[in-house]
Amino acid sequence: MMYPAPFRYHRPENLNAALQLLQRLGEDAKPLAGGQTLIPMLKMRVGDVTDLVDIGRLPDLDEIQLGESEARIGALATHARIAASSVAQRLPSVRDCAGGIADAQVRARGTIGGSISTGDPSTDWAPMLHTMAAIVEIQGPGGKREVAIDDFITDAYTTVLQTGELVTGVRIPLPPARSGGAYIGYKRSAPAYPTAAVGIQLTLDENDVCIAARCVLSAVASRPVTSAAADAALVGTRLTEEDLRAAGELIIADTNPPADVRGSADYKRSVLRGLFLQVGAKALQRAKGENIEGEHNYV
Amino acid sequence: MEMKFDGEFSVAIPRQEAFELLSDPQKFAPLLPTFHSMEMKDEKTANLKVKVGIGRIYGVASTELTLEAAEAPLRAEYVGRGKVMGGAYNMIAAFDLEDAGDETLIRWSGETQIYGKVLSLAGGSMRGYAEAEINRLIGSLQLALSSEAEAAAILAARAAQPQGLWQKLLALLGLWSPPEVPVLASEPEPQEKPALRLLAKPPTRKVLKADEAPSTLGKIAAADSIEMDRKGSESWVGSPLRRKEDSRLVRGNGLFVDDLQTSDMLHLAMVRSPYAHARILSIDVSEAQALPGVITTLTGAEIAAVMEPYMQIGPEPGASIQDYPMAVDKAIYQGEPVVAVIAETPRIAADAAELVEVDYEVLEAVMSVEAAAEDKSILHPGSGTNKVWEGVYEYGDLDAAFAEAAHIVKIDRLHFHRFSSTPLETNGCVASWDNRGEIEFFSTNTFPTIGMQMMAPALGVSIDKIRCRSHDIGGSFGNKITSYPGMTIAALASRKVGGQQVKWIETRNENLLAGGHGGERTFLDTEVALDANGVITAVRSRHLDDCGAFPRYEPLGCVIWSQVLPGSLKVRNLRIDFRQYATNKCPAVPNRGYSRLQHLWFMERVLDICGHQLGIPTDEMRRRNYIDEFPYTTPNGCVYDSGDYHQMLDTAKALIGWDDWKEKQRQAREEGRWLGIGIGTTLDSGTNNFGQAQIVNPDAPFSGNSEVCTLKIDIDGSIVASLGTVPSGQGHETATAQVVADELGLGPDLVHVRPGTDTARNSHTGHSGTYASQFAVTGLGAVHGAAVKLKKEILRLGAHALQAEEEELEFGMGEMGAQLTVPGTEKAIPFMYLANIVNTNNAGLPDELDDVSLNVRYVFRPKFELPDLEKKYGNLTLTYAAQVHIAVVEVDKYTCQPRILGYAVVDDCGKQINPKIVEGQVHGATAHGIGAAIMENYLYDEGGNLMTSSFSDYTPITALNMPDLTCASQESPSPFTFNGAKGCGEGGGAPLHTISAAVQDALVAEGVIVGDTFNSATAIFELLHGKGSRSSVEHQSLAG
Amino acid sequence: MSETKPEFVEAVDIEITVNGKSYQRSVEPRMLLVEFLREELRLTGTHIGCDTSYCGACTIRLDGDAVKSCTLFAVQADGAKVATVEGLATEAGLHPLQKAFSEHHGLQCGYCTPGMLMSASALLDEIPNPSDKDIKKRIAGNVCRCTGYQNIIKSVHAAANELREA
Repeated sequence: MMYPAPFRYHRPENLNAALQLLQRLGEDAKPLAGGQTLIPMLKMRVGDVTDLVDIGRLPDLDEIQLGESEARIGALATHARIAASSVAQRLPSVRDCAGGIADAQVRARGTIGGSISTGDPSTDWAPMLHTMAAIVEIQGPGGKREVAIDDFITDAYTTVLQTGELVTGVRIPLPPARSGGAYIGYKRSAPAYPTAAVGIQLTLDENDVCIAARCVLSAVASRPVTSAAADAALVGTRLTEEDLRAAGELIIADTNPPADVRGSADYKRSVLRGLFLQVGAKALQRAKGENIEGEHNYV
Repeated sequence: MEMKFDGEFSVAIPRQEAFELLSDPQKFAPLLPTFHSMEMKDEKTANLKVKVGIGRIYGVASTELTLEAAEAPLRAEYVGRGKVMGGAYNMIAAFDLEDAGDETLIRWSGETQIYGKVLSLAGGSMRGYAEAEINRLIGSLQLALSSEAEAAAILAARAAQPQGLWQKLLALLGLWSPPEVPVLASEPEPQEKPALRLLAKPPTRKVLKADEAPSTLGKIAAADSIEMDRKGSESWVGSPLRRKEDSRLVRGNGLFVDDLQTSDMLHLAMVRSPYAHARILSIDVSEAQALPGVITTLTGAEIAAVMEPYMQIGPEPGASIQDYPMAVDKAIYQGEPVVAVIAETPRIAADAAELVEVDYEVLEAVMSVEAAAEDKSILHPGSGTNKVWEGVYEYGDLDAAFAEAAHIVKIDRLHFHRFSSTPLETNGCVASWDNRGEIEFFSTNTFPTIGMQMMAPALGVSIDKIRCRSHDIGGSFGNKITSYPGMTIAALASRKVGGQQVKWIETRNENLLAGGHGGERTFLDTEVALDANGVITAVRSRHLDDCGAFPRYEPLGCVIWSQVLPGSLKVRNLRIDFRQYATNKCPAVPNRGYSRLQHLWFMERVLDICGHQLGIPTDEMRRRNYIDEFPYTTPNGCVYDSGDYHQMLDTAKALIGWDDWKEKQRQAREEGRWLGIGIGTTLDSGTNNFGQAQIVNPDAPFSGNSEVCTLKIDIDGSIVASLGTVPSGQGHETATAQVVADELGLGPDLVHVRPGTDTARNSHTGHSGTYASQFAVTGLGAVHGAAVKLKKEILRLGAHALQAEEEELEFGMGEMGAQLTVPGTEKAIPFMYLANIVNTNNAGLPDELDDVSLNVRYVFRPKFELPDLEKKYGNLTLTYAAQVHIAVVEVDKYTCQPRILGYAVVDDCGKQINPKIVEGQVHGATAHGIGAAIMENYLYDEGGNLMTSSFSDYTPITALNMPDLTCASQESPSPFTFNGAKGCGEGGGAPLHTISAAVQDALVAEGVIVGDTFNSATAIFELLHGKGSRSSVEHQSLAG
Repeated sequence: MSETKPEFVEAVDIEITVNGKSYQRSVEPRMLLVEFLREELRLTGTHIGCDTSYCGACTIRLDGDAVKSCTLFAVQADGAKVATVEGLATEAGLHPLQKAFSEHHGLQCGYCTPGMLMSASALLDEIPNPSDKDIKKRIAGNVCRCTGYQNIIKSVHAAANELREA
């Protein structure tokens, strides 16, 4: 058993108290939500965390709402609850993402807010939310602010969050009719880090021609990889395998994934190419109204 | 892990000015973005503290930074080393300055070596993050150097946040500066007041109050009370009975080593070397000892002063290796224990371990057998070479066979990778060495009698002073045989603290680093002779075995493979030049299929590569080469007892649907898909003849084999069996009860089999343990022998008590439990009364019953002769179970993921004692093989870092990875065992052969040779792209 | 070492209901729930296998959800209802899952079994008639090194059948 170093524990009763406490305690205090990323790090004794502020049961931060024009997911909603929610029913790529993170036990504890705030390069939520052009809601002692998901993660494990600020939720604009998306990762096993993941969100016109697209690569750089050129290349096509391949190349070719135990840069690019076709095909089917499940690939 | 970076930039200041800044640690260091504090040790050396972290979690790392060379105004070179986040690093950084007009051109380069668990952070993706960080930091250094005024301004502007170069060099650890912190109006302190109290140290445990007790007395389950149904079988042996063990295990009532807790138990944590090869310069335990709750510490030097090195199994040069359980002068693998810390709680022990300061000098790490063979860097100065053992195994007439060959196939290199079965419970023990000199272990060790034989002379105690116990063990698969070094440390710690119990439990990280790896083997210069029909007539090859840092049990691995010298093939001419080398990796240990699976994989790969070369289908190749008469004496004198490999192959083909898959494969290939079908045949040789140890070392005091059962009727009439085996999930209690029940004509629920082992039960010999697929033969042989012996005593005593003839007596059940009766009469005597006669109520017992105790001890010894040591010839194993596996694998074009579409297994382990248990062993061994083939690999980098030191990186196989197995079995009873059973359970690594073959078949059109056991998606990708483990094959056709 | 590192720890009073019984304790904040169960309550059926949230040997149920108790501080479970393997059997006997694991040889060494049972029990509460895939997905975070999962899957199906018929 690995044991975390000692720390002081705080459990403020409401958001304001939490924000003030975090502000007062400074950067060696960390917010604790589900703890599924933070606790393993503490057990490895990465760094000297003096205080943990348990925000896991702050009221009203775990609501999941599906509105007319947008969905809102509270920061403390767990992956498991999101996967089972009306939002996931409406947005299949949310279902792919929420249901594919780690394993059932981790999904029961891990939260969307924690996942985004960690800025882990292997995170699934931030890239998936990119495909939906989501907005991150942030609250600090100075008040609220909103940041586009694309601007939120600035580097590996680094976000625009300042000491004393917390993510309170994300808002996802609902895509128009004839839209569909998918988000699929390639992992060696459920509880392992993904080797790579790809997300694509599409909108078609009545002739099945793509009129809007957003794609993203995950786990292959210090932050999610996006490409306006690739998005643009998908638009105006019928998303044939050739179209997908051509657009995928625009985003994949310049990506230089770090080599590690999960594979070399060349290998990861090959995985991305396969995933891009697979995800694109699935997104297309969904945009055409087919109700199909998406699942991560393993091994 | 080594990283190198370099680049250049220009600054608009004179060279001298830039040099002054770059060459003065005092000026330079504060420019680091995460500078914390510094202290000058001398003019050139700064003891520097920087904040480093992953994202927003920071720690403070200490670094010793020395200006190694300064050549004004041309060059400044620094060396640094430090400790960070459970790891360590060394670095060199240099700046070369050149005039460039009005500017100064600065060429910089940095090289860093990172060691330890910090590499597991960030998913192991350090380099990418480090590169990004460096770019940023160089940019800021450029800014800082652009003018002194600007540098000063930068420093002033961000007292907490300068940017500079050093940070990057230190941190190549993926560390970046915190974002700007806005100054916010101070808020009143929150009112939140949880119930807190201040403690000087963590609260001690409370004793449970009666009303809090988790279960009431009434609910404690009788361990043996599990209903049993013979399910139509005539005897208990052969019935698929539920296991007795399950009753406690499904309730969470098992007693695993970490479950043993007492209020005054102390806890041991190891400080381990982050380096693969490093001299220990100094150790400072003062800060650790000062931590409240720490009792003591123990270093390698202290240990070496009170014990002798362990006995070496092999002869010279390996015999000169000085093997202590803890690094003394130098550490020779990453994770080797360097200091032990003993504290009141495991948490304090872990805290204190962080405070131990060890100063190392890093030495060159030997990370492959090929490098080891060069002897440039020597692990063990005492032996003077990295070679541990060498021997040539030669049989038949190689020259003649090659001269007559119709085909010769040459394979330059094949490689069997490092993995282990990673039991879910790690190694551990509770040890005490009291003031009366008694050493006691409650441990996970599954071969404690060999551990005791290692520890007793090393500790200078009589072997009887050591008691080893176990109850439940969370899997072993051979890995836990060699946990005695850790046990020794715990015992010495207990002795140092005056005899209190000391608990040592590995973390998973420690287990993967240092808990024992399965052996790695490289096969070089293989030449195969075949006749015109594709029958292999001769094989010659050089095998280099990598035993890691210490050989320990491994010299036995230098001979154990030869139990299966020809594999399942008829080949009679073989020459294997076998050598074992030490490398700076974790010591190798037995792992399910020990030493044989490496060789079996080699033979199978050879067979399939030859088949491909000759264009003979894989099933047909086996038809022509399989051994087909039994008993079969191999070229080295081993006797394959029974079997029918052809029938197994037919059954396996039917199970998988061979013809259907062949058709699907044809279609798939037309579509350009990579679909392959592979066969793997394997042997599970069981019940070894320890005489083979003398082939390795003629002075080794081992031969034959033995196991013990003591069986008694206790005072109350209960039937109690104790074994010398050390089960870790194999259902020994159940199988033992089945055998005893059949012999005594009673239900197995009446037979209590004591869980685990205990050397104080006097139920062991020097061979006792659980290893080498032998329980069904030696374990149950002892049980059977004891049951027969006890039965005789019961009948003799019963005849006396009932005044009847022995032949008239029958076993049965009465109101008082098991009893003897004389059918047709009123005469009956319960076991309890019989037991009373010998235990409590023996007045008047006649002389002729003096030898009856109803407490018998039986030692089973399989019949073995000593092998011919010169010729390396003799029967090394009693039984040969076999398995044939067939896998259908499709390799994805992009991910190269080897998806297993079908998997069939046919098993033959002779007479099955409990088919349920046999099936479970088949499933489990198959899962280990599949996991090893496609997911699990101990991957070291060149610097000796284990890159897969957490489960997240090692990725043991999960339910989602495991294919559905289609299984069948056949029974070819062994003519050499009393019950026709053969040992089973190791499975011979069959999936390694099978998946290699299937992947080979899938990629046949790509022209690559599968030459490695590890065929993960990434390994296949690298193979296809000309990297990774590559083999080349040459085929000479000599016939006509 | 940072100067701000706490030398003193403030123990926190917590109350956790485990298998229907309420326990009040004062614990170090860093105590993980699995340590709390094993050391404070001596409920040693919940095991520790990996430290990195991979293996699931420590799986318990927290307010109904199967979670990994090695990745959860005891203080986070303050006020919660925890169920462990020790609470599965009742006066009436073994839980159908426990019976099925024994009947179908879904365990060998028994080390992963408590976590496996708790994951499976959460699954069956949610999906009374699971497919093979449902089961595999639900135990994807529970490593078993003995059984190759084959008989575990069979056992969960058998228990599901028994529970549905009951």
